[in-house]
Amino acid sequence: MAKKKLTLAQKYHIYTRGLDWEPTYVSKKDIYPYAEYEGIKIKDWNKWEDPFRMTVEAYWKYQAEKDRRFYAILDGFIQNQGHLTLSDARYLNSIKLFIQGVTPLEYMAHRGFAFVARHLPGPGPRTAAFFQSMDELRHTQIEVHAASNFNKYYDGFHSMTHMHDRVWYLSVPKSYFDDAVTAGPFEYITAISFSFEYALTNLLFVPFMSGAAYNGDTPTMTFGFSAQSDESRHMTLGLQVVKFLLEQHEDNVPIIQRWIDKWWWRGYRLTSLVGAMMDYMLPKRVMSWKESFELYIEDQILEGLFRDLERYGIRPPLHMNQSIKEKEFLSHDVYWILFSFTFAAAFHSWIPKEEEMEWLAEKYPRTFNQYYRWRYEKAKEAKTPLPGDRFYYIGLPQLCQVCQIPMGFTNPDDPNNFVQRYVEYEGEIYHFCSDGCKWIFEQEPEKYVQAWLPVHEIYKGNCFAEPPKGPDDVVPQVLKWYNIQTDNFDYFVSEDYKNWKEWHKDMATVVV
Amino acid sequence: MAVQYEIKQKVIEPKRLAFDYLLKRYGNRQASRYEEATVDIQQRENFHYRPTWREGVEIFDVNYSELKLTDYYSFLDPRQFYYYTYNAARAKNYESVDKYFEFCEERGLFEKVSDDWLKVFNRYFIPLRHLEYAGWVLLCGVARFGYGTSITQCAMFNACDKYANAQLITRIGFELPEPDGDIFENAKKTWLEDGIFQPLREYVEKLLTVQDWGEVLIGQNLAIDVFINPLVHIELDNLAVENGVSLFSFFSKYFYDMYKDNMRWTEKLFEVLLADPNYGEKNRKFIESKLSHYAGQISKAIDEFSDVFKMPKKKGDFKIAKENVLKHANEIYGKLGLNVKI
Repeated sequence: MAKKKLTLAQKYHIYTRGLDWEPTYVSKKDIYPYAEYEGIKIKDWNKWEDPFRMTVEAYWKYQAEKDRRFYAILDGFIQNQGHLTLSDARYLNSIKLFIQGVTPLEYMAHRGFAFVARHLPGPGPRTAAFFQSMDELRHTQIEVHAASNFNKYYDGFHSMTHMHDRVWYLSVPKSYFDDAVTAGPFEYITAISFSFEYALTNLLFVPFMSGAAYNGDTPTMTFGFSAQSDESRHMTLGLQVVKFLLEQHEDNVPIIQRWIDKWWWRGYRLTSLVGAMMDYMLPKRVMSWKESFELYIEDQILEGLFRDLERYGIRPPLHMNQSIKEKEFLSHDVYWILFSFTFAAAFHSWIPKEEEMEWLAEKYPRTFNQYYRWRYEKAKEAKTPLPGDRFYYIGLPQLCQVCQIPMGFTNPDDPNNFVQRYVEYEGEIYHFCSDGCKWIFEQEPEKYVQAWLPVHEIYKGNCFAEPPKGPDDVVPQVLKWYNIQTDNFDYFVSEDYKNWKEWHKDMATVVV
Repeated sequence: MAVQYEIKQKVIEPKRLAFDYLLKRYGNRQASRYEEATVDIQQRENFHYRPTWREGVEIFDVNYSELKLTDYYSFLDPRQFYYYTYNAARAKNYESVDKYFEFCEERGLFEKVSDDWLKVFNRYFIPLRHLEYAGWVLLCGVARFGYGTSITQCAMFNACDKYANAQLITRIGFELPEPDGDIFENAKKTWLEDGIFQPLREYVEKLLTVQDWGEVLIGQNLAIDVFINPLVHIELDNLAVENGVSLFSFFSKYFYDMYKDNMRWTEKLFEVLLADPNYGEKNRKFIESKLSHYAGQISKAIDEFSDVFKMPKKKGDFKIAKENVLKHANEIYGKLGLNVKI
């Protein structure tokens, strides 16, 4: 009998889902015990359409070749002391935020997708999740290797995993991913593959990678290019997952809608850190947060993606309008928070230079001069006992119970006030930065009361290297527990700045 | 006389030689890329929420297994694989596979396999793709629930190898003639119904319901792999050659090399588990009791393969083959100092 002619799709089915079988010695539920409790109904896993057709052998070849190029460029950068040709050492503060905040999330995504690869009963999506798990490990390790060289010469890179588990502002990304991996396999894949990878990746990666290109950081830029083909696989997976779940059963629609509502706001709040970085921390700027939000979210996601999803009965995320209203405030609010608490952070901040303030005023004609410029002018005059000769907020902020960002978000309808919301639950009062975070809490209060809030934990006495000897010793003991060494305070009193000047004193092309 | 030139470069003394947590572990020295990519990478503490899919556990939790280590990074991969070196090594390993396929196609060797032999091969070999696939699923679980990046990363790469094995068996299947209809449908039927596979399948399905990742590694890496690989890729392959079929020996060698490679990390891990200053004895009890169970089961399960040894031309001696397999297993267990009753 002659061999049948098979299409590529048929061949790929045999290579992947054809390997699966229905167990007869045990119940399928015992192999996949976590597949039903979320209420998602799957009628036919065979309806899954593979978003890409990659065999393991092809994966090895492509990925090995991509990495070979990446490491060659990284080694060249190291050998040539490429860090000296960055636009300015201030640039590295955004990379510090990335390595402390995002790289551990890549790692968590690796483990999270391993969970999906193990526990989703459909062999098609499991296979795609498996490759993504491998990719996420790749991203973790490449980012660590790229940071390793910076760590030798600059502060803020030395303890990323330790800090991610402890430091106050890093509980924002940490709680986001902890939320996802503690959810069931269907919510996880909707949260990460769809809401994050599909809807927010551009907003996160494009500014970082273009920022790297603009500021002379070749390894990060190369990684950005090299990760693109991984990311496009992740994005197509995200869209495929959501369409598949919606098509499988009408009862899935309200569940998916709730997850989209939740994870939009969760992800959006997380990327507000990127907004601060884009508008304030890149010496050479790419585009403003507002421009990037309009392009990637309003045009591509709202006008593109959510128009497509209408036919499934899906509407845009519940609090999308709030994020649109906030677009001229968000990055300023968040940078101001980071700026105010830099004495307890593992990166440096600084008062924007005059020409930078001009740029901000031009990009944000309705808000920057009106609500934010004066803060930095006052900050210059303020004298605190801490290094830097400028304002710090000496105290601990109130944190939002859900996103865990200090409660400093301007109310766009009343810009002289911050938004403050609260809910009483089982006799306790919980505070929120926004209606979005409050809504998320109300959906699953039993989950969000568990949050490990850094400020509360300090007050509870859980964050000291040694018991403080007095009120003045509280912050130093916390910093010691964080392992913050000379990583904090204003950039212009930092060792990074001192060294940078020293290294460039006989060079003609310093940008300071 | 050697002539050298010297490039003037501004020398900057590094402020620190490695990440702080590596300096604390290894002293003031540079770290290797393997160490940077692996050691202390997994999150440890202050998890915000508890899993909604299982009660009483943290996101990463040493209690996902009875096997414990005082310091989980006392285990390091002897192959020093991180993502890049793993993928580069496998891409290189696979080059020879591609060349061999080309060679076989060029000479039309796959078409020349006799129908008699195909019946035998399709019965014992092609269905193994399901077994390899189950190994992938199981190791994905270890990659999720294991503790510490050094362990879970090895499990992830091993999972990848398993999936690749399942796909390589499939690729071989695509090349073979199909005198009896769809080779993969037949193989699945064999896997589901033929007596030679039923105890093995029962074993695997039961292992798929086990949550303890340490037990999964015992059942998969120390039992299934240790018995099936020498049985199929040494004993049955030798018999194939005696029956005049040497076409598949190349693949058997490849699969066996993959197996040996994964045994390097597996053996090292169990060595470290057994030597742990605090948990060593408890680990030993658990490993010995579980392994006695699993090795005993798998040893019984492969007895069904005696039927395969009735080859078309030259009949094999299953008893001798089984002795060889047991010898191989006992050598590994003996090397680890394990007292296992099979």
